[in-house]
Amino acid sequence: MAAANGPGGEETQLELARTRSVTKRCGTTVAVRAVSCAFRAGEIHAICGENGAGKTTLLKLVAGMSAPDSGEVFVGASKLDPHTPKEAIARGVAMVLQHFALVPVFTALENIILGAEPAGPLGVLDLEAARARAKRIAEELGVTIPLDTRVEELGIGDRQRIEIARALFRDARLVILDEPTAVLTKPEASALYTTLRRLASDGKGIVVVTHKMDEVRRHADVVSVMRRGELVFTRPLDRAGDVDAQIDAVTSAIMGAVARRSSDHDRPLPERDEATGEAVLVMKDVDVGRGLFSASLTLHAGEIVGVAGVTGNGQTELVELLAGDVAPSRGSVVAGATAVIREDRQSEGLVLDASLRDNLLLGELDRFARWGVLDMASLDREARARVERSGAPSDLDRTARSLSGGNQQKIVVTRALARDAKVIVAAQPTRGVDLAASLDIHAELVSAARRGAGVLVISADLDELRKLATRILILSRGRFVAELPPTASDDEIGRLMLGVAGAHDPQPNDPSPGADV
Amino acid sequence: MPAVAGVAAGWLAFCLLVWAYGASPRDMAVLLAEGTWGTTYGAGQVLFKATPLLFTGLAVDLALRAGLFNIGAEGQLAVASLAAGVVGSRLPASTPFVIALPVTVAAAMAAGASWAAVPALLKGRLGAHEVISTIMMNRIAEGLVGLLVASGLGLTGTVRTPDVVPGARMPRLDAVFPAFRGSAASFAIVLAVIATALVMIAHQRSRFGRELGLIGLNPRAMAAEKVPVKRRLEQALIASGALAGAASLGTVLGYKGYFEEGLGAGAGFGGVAVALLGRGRFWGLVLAALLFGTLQQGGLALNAHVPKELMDVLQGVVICAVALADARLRDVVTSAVVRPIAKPATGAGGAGVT
Repeated sequence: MAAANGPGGEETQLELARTRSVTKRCGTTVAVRAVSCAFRAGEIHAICGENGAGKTTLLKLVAGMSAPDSGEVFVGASKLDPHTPKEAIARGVAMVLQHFALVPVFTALENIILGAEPAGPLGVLDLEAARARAKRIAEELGVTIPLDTRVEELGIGDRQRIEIARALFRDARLVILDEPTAVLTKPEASALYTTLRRLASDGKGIVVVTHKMDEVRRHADVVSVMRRGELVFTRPLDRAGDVDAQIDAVTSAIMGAVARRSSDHDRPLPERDEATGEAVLVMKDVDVGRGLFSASLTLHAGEIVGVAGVTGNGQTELVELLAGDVAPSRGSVVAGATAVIREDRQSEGLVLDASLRDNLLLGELDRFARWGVLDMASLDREARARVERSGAPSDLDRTARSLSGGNQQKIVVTRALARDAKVIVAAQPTRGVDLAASLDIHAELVSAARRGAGVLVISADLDELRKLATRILILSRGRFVAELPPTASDDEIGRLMLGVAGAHDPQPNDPSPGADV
Repeated sequence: MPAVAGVAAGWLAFCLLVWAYGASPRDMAVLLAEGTWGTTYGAGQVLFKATPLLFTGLAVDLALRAGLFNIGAEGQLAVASLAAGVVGSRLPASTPFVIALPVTVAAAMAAGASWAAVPALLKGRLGAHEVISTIMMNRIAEGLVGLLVASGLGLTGTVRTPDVVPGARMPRLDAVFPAFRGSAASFAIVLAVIATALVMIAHQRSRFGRELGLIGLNPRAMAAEKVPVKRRLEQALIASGALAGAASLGTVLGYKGYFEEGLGAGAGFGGVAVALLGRGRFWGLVLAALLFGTLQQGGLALNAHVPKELMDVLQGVVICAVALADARLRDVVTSAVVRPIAKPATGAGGAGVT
């Protein structure tokens, strides 16, 4: 790795991997079409595009996880052959998937070394060497990893750091991360980028898939945009020049024809008139288990209230409480009919292998049953009406799995809103959803509020909260610590979210060092 | 596709085994065909063997849809068969057909259902894994049935119940179609096919059936939508037990006319095979039951030349091949086996790890 090349070798040495006109079909659709793209050492390369634009597919080709139908993948100077993840890892390319692949009952250390266990004589596992090495990697990353804690007890930020450490443990030189910040809060995301920047300065190549333009703006050195399987462009980001114009170019390349759909939905709701709007949800001094303490909250008809906070600070308990999964251990909750958009659409919101018809009516079969026999005609009619409202593909026999993340979420949102609930609880409604679908979902939530529902949006995405909510509650360590107007600054909200008392007083055990506090 | 792989692998294994035994695969295949579908008697015997298999296959399939692996059809059927023999024989001798048969069948199904209710409630209330509890219930059923037959429910000095009343007997096929003369096939096969069709329709068109299928695919999402998942799982296992109990139509009521210890043994495990091969489809289940019925009857036809146990081996080979050829099935089987080991701490108690 440190071998010195002759003069002129520098350019090729910088290039860690390259695709040459790769094409990959998935069934009848072409997921990636003739893409040629290079990934270099020392830079953070952002890949942007709508859901289903082929970003993940392209990177999986690079990481050897699937083989191209035509075209070639080069790692270093030679072709990736055989085209397997094992070979890719052996040659220094590692990919961190969107849904982590850690073993929950193993400790962090065991996960890091899994599959690359350092063995002493006679194949005896040399745990001490492994631990030393893992510690060194964590130091290089500038993070602490609780090596002896079981992964199931760790938060999402820790899990991600473990995944990255895992890649480095295998001597990865090109680290590919698929939507690493989709599940992270802003401070966690900043911490991640601090880590990634360190790696890049050390000469690693970093590839990041992201939907978030502000991340591209702040952290990327190079940005590639994909659209419908094709690479629109790859260009370096020149921070000395007009960054806004460059980001605008990226946005419009992502959106293509849909660019900048101007609609009145972007306009925020009018400030709630204090007098109007009855209370549809009143929580008083509610405790839920060990997750939520003396939470009080009033939600009025027609308003959208945001709840901001780092995952694991009581959001889950709040959603479960409002969904009726758990009862409060203290205090009272009075709520109108409630519909919940769950945080994890793949495991809780949808039956992925069932048809859209079933998914649009999940849990509502009672309404179509007479003596237990379903009225298929009216069931079909209702499903059809809903799928058309949702804007998702209208073939009711398709499975939910076959849809992109954005369209999946549209199904979930449409179902929740079709129930004419008084209270709508939306947990991370646009997490991992592309720009266009996010706009549609925001519009749906706004129009639900206009129709007179009270909407509670629980999100780690401050931009989303600012855009939708008329006031933002901060949930930290199970308590509502503050209520802020949407005009509050990132700094202010971030500090409160982390439970940091004063601006210059970061806690020693702050989980996200490097946060923009 | 998996079915093709299964049958192909079965055929290959048949040739190998027969050849290893020193017989000619070709001759044996001809003998097998003649002994089963070659004559109307043989065909009747295949239908007779397939009848309980179709009922138990349907039973296992219903549970499988909800993501439950009911290995307990064997015990459920044993208890149900005893109930059929006892209730059928205690009715007044003059009870008319339209009352006697339904009452007897209802008693059998209720017995099968209540036997399945034990693992069902253990599952729903305490989270006990159904594979383990249904297997254990099989052993208990075996012992209990023997005990009951020996101590009062059977005729003294025998291991059988008295004859059921004539009205509770399922008419033989040869009563209407003389061609089947001599075979033990009864109209129970017709009922089995009708039951299969009805249950398949119910999976699409009834609230219960549709919810079961969705629960099988993702119980968490269904629970999140406030479908009573645990209760549905209990109900599925109980319904499965009732269907397994209905298999006694083909054995107790259609064949012997009384229950004796061991009657119908093996049909419960055979049902697992039928369900795995039948893949949740009407024709799949019917053809799978016929295939395994053919193998059983064929084993008897070949018994003079090769041991009939060879057919049991074939049955196993077919199932393994099907399971290997189908990813989703592999998942079901793996999770049924791995789940209780890998995830001990879900449900009550939870995180108590020291």
